[in-house]
Amino acid sequence: MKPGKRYIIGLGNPQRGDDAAGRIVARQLRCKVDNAVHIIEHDGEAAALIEWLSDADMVILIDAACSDTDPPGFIRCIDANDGPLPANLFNLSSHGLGLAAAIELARAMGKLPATCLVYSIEGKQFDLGRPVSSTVHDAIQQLELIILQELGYTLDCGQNHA
Amino acid sequence: MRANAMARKTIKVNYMARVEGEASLKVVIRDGKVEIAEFNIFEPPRFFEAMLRGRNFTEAPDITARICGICPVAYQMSAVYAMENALGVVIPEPIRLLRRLLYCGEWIESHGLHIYMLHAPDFLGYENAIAMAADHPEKVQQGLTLKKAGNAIVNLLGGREIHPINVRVGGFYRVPRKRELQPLLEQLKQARELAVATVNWVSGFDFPDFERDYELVALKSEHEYPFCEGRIASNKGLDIGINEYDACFEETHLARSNALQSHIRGRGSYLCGPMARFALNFDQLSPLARQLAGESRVGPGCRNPYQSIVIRAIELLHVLDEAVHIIENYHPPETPAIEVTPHPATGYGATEAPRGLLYHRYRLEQDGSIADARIVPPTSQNQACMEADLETFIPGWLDLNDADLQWRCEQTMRNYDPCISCATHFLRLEVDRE
Repeated sequence: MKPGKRYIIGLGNPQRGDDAAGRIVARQLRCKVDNAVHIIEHDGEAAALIEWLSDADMVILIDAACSDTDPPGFIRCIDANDGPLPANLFNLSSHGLGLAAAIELARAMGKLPATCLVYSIEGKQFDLGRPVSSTVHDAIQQLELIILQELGYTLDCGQNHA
Repeated sequence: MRANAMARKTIKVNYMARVEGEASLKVVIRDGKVEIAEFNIFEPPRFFEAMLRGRNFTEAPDITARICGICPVAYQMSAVYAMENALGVVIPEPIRLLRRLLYCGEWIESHGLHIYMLHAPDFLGYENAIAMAADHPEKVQQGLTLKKAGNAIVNLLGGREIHPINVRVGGFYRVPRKRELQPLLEQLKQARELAVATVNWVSGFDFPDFERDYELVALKSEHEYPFCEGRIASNKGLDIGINEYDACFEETHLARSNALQSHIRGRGSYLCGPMARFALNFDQLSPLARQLAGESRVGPGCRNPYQSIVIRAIELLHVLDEAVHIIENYHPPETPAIEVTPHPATGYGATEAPRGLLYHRYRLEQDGSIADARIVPPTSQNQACMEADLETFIPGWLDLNDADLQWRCEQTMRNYDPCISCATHFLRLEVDRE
């Protein structure tokens, strides 16, 4: 393992409306962080997620959430090292094992990185072929700034500096 | 305990865990007899057959791949073979072998996931793979490593790990150079060693002593373990061409379930999937897979559904053997695909998804648009058989407490690795007007 390895992983299905939110945040961050931060867009398949979790000191995961309780566009930050993810938030994977399972498997195997933050944006529409809703689009821009600050970037006149 | 058996007992599992999709289970026992054994699929119908109407025949592989995130290759393969059957296309051998290699990748992914993450916890007494990982992290890691090997094949040949995009009617959009496949070899050989360990591991599990006289249905091939070709056969004399499927099998709709249930006309339920393939094609397994089957004392006469986990492990070993063989002997095709010209026709395709037979039928118009589509996935074919298993096996478990009985019922369903997402794609609309 390379010490200090950092990943930003955006999850979701780009063809299912707001489910694309995590991937879009990651994509927008790609040109705003230095090359030492590995930016990944992914569908959420657990085996790959566990491999990245095992390989890093810091991982920021971004996904859409579907809680039925919070308003669309609501942004959460969950520190995975504090405990299991809420079971009702990340059930959008059609691949059997998704984000929550990957984190719990990594935790059980002692492979959770020292810093493992999960950001979620509450989605509104997940239908096939639909675009990202305007509410979630706004939240995407907001979350991008939050993550840049989390990574230690300062924001100055639209330019980001490490 | 006998007094309990005489009372009415209802086991209701509202959300089945460790199955793909959303399903429930309802069992009612009265006076020691199973009154109701229902495996209900309530995930919303997917309407894929209706969605395909009017679309071009070239779009079917990518549209149907979206039915399932676990077995998209199976949908693509059944679709392209059905279209090629309709249009009289025979693909060159190198393309056929690349398709087999892609299918190997999907079986490795699916079997690796099911054996380690979904089914093994049942036999070891864990609620799920996460609980199992705390005590057996090395086993979970083995499962992940195997899945990764399958991912690598699907990623390389399919263009990405989930919902591959490189398959087309007539071949592929792009085929790999020989040197692109070579890096997979070492990974697959290591995975093959893990597969041997997997067979040895799961064959040591404690299996409930139950058997049924199943009618086992699978593709049967005389020269290779079946993926995409062969006749539809059974251990009870069925032997038909793929184009005779509709005449021999029927689907019925039950109001309580969103999936259709399949039967052999005039005969009843049947089982498809690993145990059926294994029984009908045992001689086509690789020598190493046959050897491990012998050492595991699981042969083609196996009718214990709980031992399906061993059969999956043997199939896993076989497909890793085959994947290595294909790559070692690979010669790229002269062209990635052959041109296909549409005309009015009906075509049939049946391939072996990890969970069993996946049947597609399409009727095409002159311009290549799809006039009619029919898709029968393995889980809806197995649904009646799953319920029959419960009816047969539960009377032997009446002395179990409710929690253990529920667990045993769920384990019995997971023998089939049911994929609910696949099974709920139908559209059936009845309008009653005066």
